[in-house]
Amino acid sequence: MARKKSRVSNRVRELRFRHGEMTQQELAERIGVARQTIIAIEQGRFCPSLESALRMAAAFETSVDEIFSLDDTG
Amino acid sequence: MSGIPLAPLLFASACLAACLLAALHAYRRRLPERGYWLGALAFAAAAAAVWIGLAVAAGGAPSLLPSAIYMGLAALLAVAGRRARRLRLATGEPPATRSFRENSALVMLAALLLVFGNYFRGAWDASPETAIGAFVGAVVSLVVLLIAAHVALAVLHLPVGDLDAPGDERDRAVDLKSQRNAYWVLTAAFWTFPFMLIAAVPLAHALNIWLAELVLAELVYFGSMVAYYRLGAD
Repeated sequence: MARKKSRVSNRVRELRFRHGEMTQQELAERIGVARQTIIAIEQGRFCPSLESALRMAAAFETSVDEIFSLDDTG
Repeated sequence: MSGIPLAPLLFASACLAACLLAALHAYRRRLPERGYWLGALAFAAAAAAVWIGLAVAAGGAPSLLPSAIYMGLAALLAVAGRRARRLRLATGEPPATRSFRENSALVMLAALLLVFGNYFRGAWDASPETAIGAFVGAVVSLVVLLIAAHVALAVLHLPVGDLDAPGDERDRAVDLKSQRNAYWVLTAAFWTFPFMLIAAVPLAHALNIWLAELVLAELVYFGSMVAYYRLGAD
């Protein structure tokens, strides 16, 4: 059984700008991570923990699946 | 010691104390450039005081090295002040700089490669006495190099508040995965030593191979950190 390669994409950058052009630093402070981590998440180089994803959803006043989605590439 | 005049030394000490207070003040006020520039002035004044003090004590032209170190630190602080002001006045988000931890890992990797690369180049065929001297020299060089590089990193790193920020989940993930990679090398190193003794490899060579494996484990650790920070830790 071949293992599916998955990739999580996100709309963090788009949602930041929709929420009063929130800066990466502001979002980082609200979630409790470093600004470089927000940069890594936006660039798809790091997938945050469930707790951070939930905090991010609270910051954007939306649900987690509005921010993150799973791209199955088979 | 009795020949060294007290006044320049007291002046140099006062300048350094002023530098530390200025840095503390800048850190609290979040106006780092003023602190950096005051610090640069203090170090420049301390360089002059040290040179005068040594000149009077020696009764002639003293070595320029101590003053040059102070002037180098002054230049470093001046550059940091310029960068800090530019960043504070810039509108929008600061550029996507590397974190202090990532820069530190990069410095550790480069320092290990440089110092132990140089050590292993000459240590293989050296006599045990020479090899021990070279090893002590390598360790001392590594410590001095790392202290100097981290001081420079801390001075040049912006924003200032990043320096004492605790690691977040990405830092922990990168650290754990890098430790896992280094663990395999370390385990191999542990088991090769008894096998080398059984195979009657000369003790000096066996110790050097073992040391090389330990250094390799550290290189894998810091190399993994750099790679995970750049390419992703998922």
